Parts: sequence; structure tokens; C-alpha cells
Amino acid sequence: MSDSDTALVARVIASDDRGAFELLVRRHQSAVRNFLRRLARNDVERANDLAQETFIKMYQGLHTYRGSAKLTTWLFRIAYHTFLNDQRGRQATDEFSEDEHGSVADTTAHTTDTLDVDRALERLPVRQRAVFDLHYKKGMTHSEIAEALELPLGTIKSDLVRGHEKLKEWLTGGTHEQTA
Amino acid sequence: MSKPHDSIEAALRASEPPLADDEFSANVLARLPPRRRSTNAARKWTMAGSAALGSALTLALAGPLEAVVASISPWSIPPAVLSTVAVLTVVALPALLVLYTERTDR
Repeated sequence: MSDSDTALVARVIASDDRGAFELLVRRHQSAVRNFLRRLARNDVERANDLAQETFIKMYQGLHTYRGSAKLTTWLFRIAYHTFLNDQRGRQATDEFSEDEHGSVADTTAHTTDTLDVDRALERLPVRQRAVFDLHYKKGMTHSEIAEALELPLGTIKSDLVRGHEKLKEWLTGGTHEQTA
Repeated sequence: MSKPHDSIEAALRASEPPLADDEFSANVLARLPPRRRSTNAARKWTMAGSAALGSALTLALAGPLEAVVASISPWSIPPAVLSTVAVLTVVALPALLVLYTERTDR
């Protein structure tokens, strides 16, 4: 049986076990990189750099991890804040640009596939992208997302509702609305 | 009609393909800070080594040291006291060094 996250964390803290840390990275790298790709609007190189930074911050902060939350919840929190810090550092706006990304509504009629939805998700503001990814792709509960993103539970719920409304509008050819 | 909504929901719930590790984990490990020293092991070895060294030096130098002290001191100092002082000095110095380095590592 493979070691639990908690057991691996304990080995890293107790004896700086790099093998245990490598197992943690291997176990969670795909989820973290996919999450950051979603936030970075599929900028693969940027997402990989931020994912590396996330795991290094995780290593440096492992002694502060108390195990009250799941390791993944804590890890996504680090990833989210790492992305936000990077975003602040770049002076680029986070607003969707029609010139860059094109319109999604006019490419669909009533058949909605994953690619359409992925493109539409890119139009959402970063926080809503994070909430949608953690909920639908990572299967996290509302409470876990609230804990990971350090946001009130109500904000998570309203982000999901509003995000759904926007996606439905964009993907079924409704009127375009400026993203906030 | 809920068909568009259902298809959006289904697409949202579609699982994402797992990403191959390739060199990702290796790159993360390469960027980690240097492995921290095992202070517990270092402390044990330093103390044991200095105790052994102190004992050996005391054994070798107790006789000549007693003669030197006796020639310059107006009081007669027993060899056992001299040995104890010598051992404590040789053990205490590395111990203080260990404590100091641990404090500066924090």
C-alpha cells in the first residue's frame, strides 16, 4: 500500500526525506499543473514554472502544515496565491480580450463539447476559474474550496451560480457580457 | 428546456487528462535548497568525540601538567581535580560551539 500524504509529510519533516517529497510531487503534479494551466489560460510554460514554485514553497512551509486540512487543499491554496502574486507582478490585465481569444458563442449552437467549455472557462475571471476547476475537475466540496482559496463559503457558491449563468449565455449564443 | 445546461454540466465534469511527470519532479527536486544537516547526529558525534579526546589528552598530560602546576602554584592541587578541569574544558568548548551553530542556524 502506498504511503498516505500525511505519512510522507512526516518523513520530510522528520529527516528531510527527499524521496518522500519526490513521491508527493509525483502524486500531485498533474492536478496542480492542470489547475495552474486553467488559471494561466493554458499558458503551459508559465503554468509549469508556477507549479515548480508552488512545490518549492510547499517544501519550505511543510513544517507549518498541521494536517487539519487535506494536503491538496493546502497545496491548491499555495498554487492559487503563487498565481496571484505572479499576476500582480506582470502588469497585464486579467480581462478577457476578444482579439486574443475570439468569440466562443458564435462557434456553438446547441452541441456543447469540452473544448467549447474550456474556451468559455477562459473568459471567466481568475477567481471563478479557480472555483470551477477545483469543484468540477478536482471534485472538491464548497467548504474545501472556501478553505483552499481563503474565501467565504457564500462567495464560492455565488461564483458557481454566476459562472454557470455566464457559460450558459456564452455557449448558447446569448448576448456578450463584459467579464468582471 | 435544460438540454444546453445539461451538456455544459457534462462537459464541465469531464475528467481532465493526467499530465505525465516527464522531468517535472526532477526539476523541482533540483531547485530545492541544500539538504539540511542532521543536527542531532552532529551533536552526538561531537560530544562523544570531544569526550574521548579529552580523556586521552588528560591521561597523556596529567603527569606533566601536575608538575607544571605544582611548580607555579603555592597550593597543592590534587591530580583528580586537575584531570576533572581538563576534561571539562575539552568537552565544554565543542559543546558551546555546537550550541552556538544551532542558534545561528535557526
